[in-house]
Amino acid sequence: MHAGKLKFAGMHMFKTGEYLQVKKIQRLAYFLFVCLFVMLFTNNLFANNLTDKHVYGLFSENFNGATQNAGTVDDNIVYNVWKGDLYPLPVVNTVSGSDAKEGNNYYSCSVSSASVGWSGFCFTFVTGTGNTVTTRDISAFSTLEFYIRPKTGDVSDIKVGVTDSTDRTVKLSSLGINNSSHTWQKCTINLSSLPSVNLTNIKNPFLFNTTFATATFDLDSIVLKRSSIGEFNVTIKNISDNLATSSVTWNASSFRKNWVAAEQYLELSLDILETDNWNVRIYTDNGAVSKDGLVDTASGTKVLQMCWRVSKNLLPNASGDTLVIAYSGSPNYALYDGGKSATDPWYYPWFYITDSAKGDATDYSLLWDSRGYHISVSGDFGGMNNPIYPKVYLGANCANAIGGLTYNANIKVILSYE
Amino acid sequence: MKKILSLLVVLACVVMFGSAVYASTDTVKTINASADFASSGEVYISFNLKNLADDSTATAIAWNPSAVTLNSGTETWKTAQQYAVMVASVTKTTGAIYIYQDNKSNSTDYVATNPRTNQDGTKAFSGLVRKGSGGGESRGYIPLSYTMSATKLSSSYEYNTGASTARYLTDKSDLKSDGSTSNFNVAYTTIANINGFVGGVTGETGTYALTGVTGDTAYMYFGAGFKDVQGGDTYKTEQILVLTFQE
Repeated sequence: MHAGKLKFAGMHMFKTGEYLQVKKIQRLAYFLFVCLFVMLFTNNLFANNLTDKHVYGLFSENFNGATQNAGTVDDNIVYNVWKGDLYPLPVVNTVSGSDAKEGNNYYSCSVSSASVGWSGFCFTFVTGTGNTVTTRDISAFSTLEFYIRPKTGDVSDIKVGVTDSTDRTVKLSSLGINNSSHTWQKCTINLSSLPSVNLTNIKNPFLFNTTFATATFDLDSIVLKRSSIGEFNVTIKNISDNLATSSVTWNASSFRKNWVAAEQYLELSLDILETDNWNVRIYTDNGAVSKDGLVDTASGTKVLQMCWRVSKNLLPNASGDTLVIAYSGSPNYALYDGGKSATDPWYYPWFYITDSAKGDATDYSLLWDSRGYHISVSGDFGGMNNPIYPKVYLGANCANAIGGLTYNANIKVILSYE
Repeated sequence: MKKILSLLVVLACVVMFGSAVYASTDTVKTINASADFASSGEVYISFNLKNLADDSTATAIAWNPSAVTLNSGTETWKTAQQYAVMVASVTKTTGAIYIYQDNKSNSTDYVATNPRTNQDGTKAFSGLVRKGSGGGESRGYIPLSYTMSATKLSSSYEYNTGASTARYLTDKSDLKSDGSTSNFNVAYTTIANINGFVGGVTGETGTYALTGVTGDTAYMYFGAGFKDVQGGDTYKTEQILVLTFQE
């Protein structure tokens, strides 16, 4: 028999100094945990798109990037116009219209110079609340890409490029622009080919200037692009707390109810621009045209029809967009936002989902393309502003659900580009 | 030969570049979606008796003695003076509503001790039991049946055993012809299941829906097959059971 203190295996008696060390480590761990928590749940707030993105939008409604007058966050830019004395400023206005190359908005530009005049337009990196001009390293990007639509006059001699310590530009004529074709035309500038450019110290990531031109033209979809390929991602998040999760679910409270939104949404993140002809579609992938919804796992024959909608915002929101799915009945037989009017097709944002077996490539599967996110069945598309992470909400008609069964669906979200 | 090879090379290039122009590249993300209703659903029925004559509430089912021909020797089916109004909801896949008898649990005067033998050899304890007989082969039982309708029938409704919706009322103790194996037949006892009210039986086990929507109303009418009843006889059952079932 042993006498003395009872000692448990694995137990360590801390001395005072050790104890304080442990407390410090605990505090540090707690601090790091809080930092991680803040980073995770406010990722968009502190995003540094110039560092993170493969496609960096300078003026884009589909790709994250710079934000004009964004305050103290990274990626803050302002746009400037300038002119020589006695000569008119370029007129650069943001115009909304369905004829935009991308999203809803484009720049309408007008330059009018005498033979010795000069003027220009640029985006400038700034920092701080006072918009202090700064420089950024864009050497990771290989091309500056944008669309131009010549309208009147001659754009051939307009120069386009970037500014480091001075302007580094090329003429539009060298980019193959057809001045007489009043359609959107793609321009791609190989950044490293700009004469003497220092891409690590860029003040203006985009500018045009002119000394002799009188012309009107439109600009849209101005992006920097890396040579490496980015990613397209879909993240499942809970509606309740916006935390990432692993699957989309309807809980038991949906039982025998008409159209009910799922408890999660899909957040899309697009950072690929291999070509401009791209789209994102959604299907069920259940193996049969008739299985366009949640299918019971017991017999595989009972189907709860599904629907989807995509929004640039989290729903529900203060604008009155809800997740209440209402059915219009005759004559449209459409699904609309229950918080809105059944008579306004703008508020038919819910699309019946189709199964991939149908081979359907119609509007009922189209989530997103260069026109923006697919707002409604009436064919409306909407551009987005930073941060650009469209949210896809799913619904199911559980009115005929049968107790004792579990229903499953494979959902495919597909980015295609040609 | 050289020209042919050149032509083949050109064709190969056209095919290669042609396919490259129209090639589509897909990035596919797969998500699992599910709705778990394993614990959801209900089985419910309200079963209320009414008098056929005036639709007033009733508490028991009875036949009018004056409508019965005593000791006729021919089985004649007569409609009971009452009917049942049923509102049911079965939203669980394993759920069902049954009707059957338990004449072995009747009070002493009407307890069924011995079965009768049907034409097919099966042994039945079902029906109305003659007082003091204990059932058995000789005038011990009057067979019962029921029929269901999605609409309320007229007060002059005459029971039609030829209707495909008519089913014998069975007893939980019914036996097969071997006299020892249970002949409890779910097809004959099921009033409603996940498909709605069961309209009738086709074949041995098949059923068909009377209404496909749970929560609807249906009506049940009862028939008794009188053949050799005699004056002074009293027949009764105290155990027509309507039960809900779910796993």
